[in-house]
Amino acid sequence: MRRKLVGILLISLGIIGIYLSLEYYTLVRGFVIILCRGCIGI
Amino acid sequence: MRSRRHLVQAGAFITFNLGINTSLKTGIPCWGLFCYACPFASTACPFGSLQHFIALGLAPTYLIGWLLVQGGLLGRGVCGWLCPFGALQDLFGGRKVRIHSKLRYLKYVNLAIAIIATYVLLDTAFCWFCPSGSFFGAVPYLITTGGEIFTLGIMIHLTILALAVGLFIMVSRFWCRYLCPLGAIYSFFNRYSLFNIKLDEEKCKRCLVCLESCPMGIRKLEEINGSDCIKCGECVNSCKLGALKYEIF
Repeated sequence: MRRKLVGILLISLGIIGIYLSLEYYTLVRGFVIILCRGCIGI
Repeated sequence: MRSRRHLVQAGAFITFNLGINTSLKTGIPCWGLFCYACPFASTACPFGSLQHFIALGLAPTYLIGWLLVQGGLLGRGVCGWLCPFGALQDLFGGRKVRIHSKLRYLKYVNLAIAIIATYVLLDTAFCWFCPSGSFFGAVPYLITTGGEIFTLGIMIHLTILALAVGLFIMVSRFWCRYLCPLGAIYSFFNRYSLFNIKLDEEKCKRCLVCLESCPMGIRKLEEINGSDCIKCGECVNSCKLGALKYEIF
């Protein structure tokens, strides 16, 4: 049970982290739209 | 159970490739190692994005938040059920040899080298050699562009891909076992995730049939849900005594 509580705590921290840095959403979206040169080797 | 998992893997693969329509290209990190250089990608590779944030000198709180959510919910279950590169390795099968006790730590070394190299070189250094990038990024790029641009980088990617395929055939889930830096991150959460496999000690006769079917080559019953367990459920399927079952929350 203690492990599950740690799991819930991790998820909660994660949600808080995502919420507090939601402005990075557009940045990550930018990564997806602009092809990663390293990945395709150009 | 196995067919259900393959169905989930196929569904995840389709979802991660909805980016064929640009409006469906999201800023949500993928659940697993999937190259966002793929012309069809709708989600971002968590590890690629993590490198981008480090290279840009930004605190990767957004990515860490997502990794905490993914890890807290599924742990390495992401590798077993959702990761497109894991699904690709399942397609190749590979011999279910036992995991090498020392080599398993290579993925942590790989993770550390990748992060340090990104910090020093200020570029997504790991992506230059990522076989997932080779398969899901370089190959679709070559196909969609008709092979017009054929650089040294692409040749390196194709060489890595050929090498990787050979290793996948020789050893099941070779990448997940020994080299995946994202798997290394998820492994920290594996024991604490809400999605787990539960062993009923009273039903278990210690026949170890479950371990023989493990694609990750886990050696001991105690290592189920451990850092190398991808919670694929092959052990659950193989146990005729019903001693193993999935536990959600």
